[in-house]
Amino acid sequence: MPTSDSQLLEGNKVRIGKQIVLPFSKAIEISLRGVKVRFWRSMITMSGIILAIAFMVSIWVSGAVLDGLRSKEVRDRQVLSQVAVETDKLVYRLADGTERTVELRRERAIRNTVTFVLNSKGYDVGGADAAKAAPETTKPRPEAEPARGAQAPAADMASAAKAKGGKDLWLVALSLCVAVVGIVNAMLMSVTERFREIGTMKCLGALDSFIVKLFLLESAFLGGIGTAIGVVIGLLLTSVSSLVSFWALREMILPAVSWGDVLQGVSVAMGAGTLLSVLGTVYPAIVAARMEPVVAMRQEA
Amino acid sequence: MIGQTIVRTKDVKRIYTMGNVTVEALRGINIEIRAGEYLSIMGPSGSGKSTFFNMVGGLDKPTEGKVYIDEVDVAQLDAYELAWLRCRKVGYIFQSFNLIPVMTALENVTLPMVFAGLNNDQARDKGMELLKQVGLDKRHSHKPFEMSGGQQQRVAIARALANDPAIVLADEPTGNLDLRTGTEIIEILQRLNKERNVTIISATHDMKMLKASDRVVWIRDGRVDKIEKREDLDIQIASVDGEH
Repeated sequence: MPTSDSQLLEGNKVRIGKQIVLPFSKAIEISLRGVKVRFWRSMITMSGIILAIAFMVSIWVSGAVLDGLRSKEVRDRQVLSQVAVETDKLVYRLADGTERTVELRRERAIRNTVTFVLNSKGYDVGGADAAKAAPETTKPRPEAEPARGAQAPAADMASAAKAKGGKDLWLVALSLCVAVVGIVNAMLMSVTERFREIGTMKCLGALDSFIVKLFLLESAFLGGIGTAIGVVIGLLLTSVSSLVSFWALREMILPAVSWGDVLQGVSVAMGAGTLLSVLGTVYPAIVAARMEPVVAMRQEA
Repeated sequence: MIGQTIVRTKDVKRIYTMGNVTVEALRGINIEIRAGEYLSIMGPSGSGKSTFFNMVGGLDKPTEGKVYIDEVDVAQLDAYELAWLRCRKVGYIFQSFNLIPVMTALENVTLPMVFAGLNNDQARDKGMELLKQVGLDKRHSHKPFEMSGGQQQRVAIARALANDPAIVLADEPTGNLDLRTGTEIIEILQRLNKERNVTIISATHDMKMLKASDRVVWIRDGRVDKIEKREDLDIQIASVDGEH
């Protein structure tokens, strides 16, 4: 018998690997269905990543808001240095050669407000510089004067900003880590809960890789949806908090923000959220794939 | 119609080690199951019945001895080949039906065909045909929880036949069903056994199963206690019923 056995075995071996398949489209279909059926429960699983991403986005976007306001301030200052003053009007000569006339008093008031608000929030934009650069301005209101002199070194400002950015980054990374641990935990629970389904699939001829594929796809979809929700929450939160902090500048915020910056932040968040939720599922998916098909026979649960 | 040997075991032993305790679930079982046979495995719980059943279905490997399915030694198969065996050669029916809850009846039936590489149209046609054979073609778009236990088990039977397996393994297929639905399921299995000449191996406590079986293998303490042919069974059933 051994000879005929091994011959048969050899004969089969050549083709067997390729005879068991799970087409990608089918895998997507199955995993999407899993997402749909368990949607609300999965969103609770994903709440960690939703919140972490909301936090990340709000940090990023409020940074972009501040940068926008700050650079608007700097830009205005540069433009202002080229203005001609005619009676009570300011004529801006813009980069493209056009000219814009605004009322001197109104403009001065706005600029002083920007400087004042940013400074009072602890973002040093050098109000005194602005004051100096502006021709024929009266002294800015005393509150707007930074405590240290007008010559605040630029390097100092940069390093302060960097330190704050570093702290934020650390907090964001930490919250993402916590979210991933949450996903690993919830997914491990989900694997033990679905042991019968997994065992059955294996009895029907599913390879380990199919199970891994299905789990990873499902978590990619969930991660994508969760992250999108997180991004929306983050944007809403930032809008509210920016409006509250910079109420005086409310009309300036939208035009000042660099949308490229915001978009970049949102895409980084989308990528990170999806990737992390997939990464968090790798170990549970391997645990699921290693499950013996015999478990499908068990009666308990 | 009973043909050549399809499952053969040779001195199969299975020893479980749990910490310091070793449990000898099977102590050397020799049996030959022939193609087209309807075989029931009986035995009290803890007799090694389930272990032996899993062994025959390629779900477990023996500690000692050999299990040949279609003359291929199961112990020598790698993961791909085992998956192939489960996909093409063996169909499984479970006591608790084990349909994939998120899929419709038809999708459950076609899943093994997808694994086997059939395209969507082929799989759908064949799936509908199988559902028709178990009388459920009208309910193909229903999810498992929308069906009764008997209907779920019929879907499971259709799924087990998806890739025209040579062997169907049924683990207490009537265990979760009432008397009448249980009888229906047995009738379907019996009909498929006759019509498609598929080998049916079932582990069961159900006395109704015995009447349908060609042979009954009794397992006790990890050994074959006795093997009875159908001819001998009729006399036995009364006393067995009493014991039950």
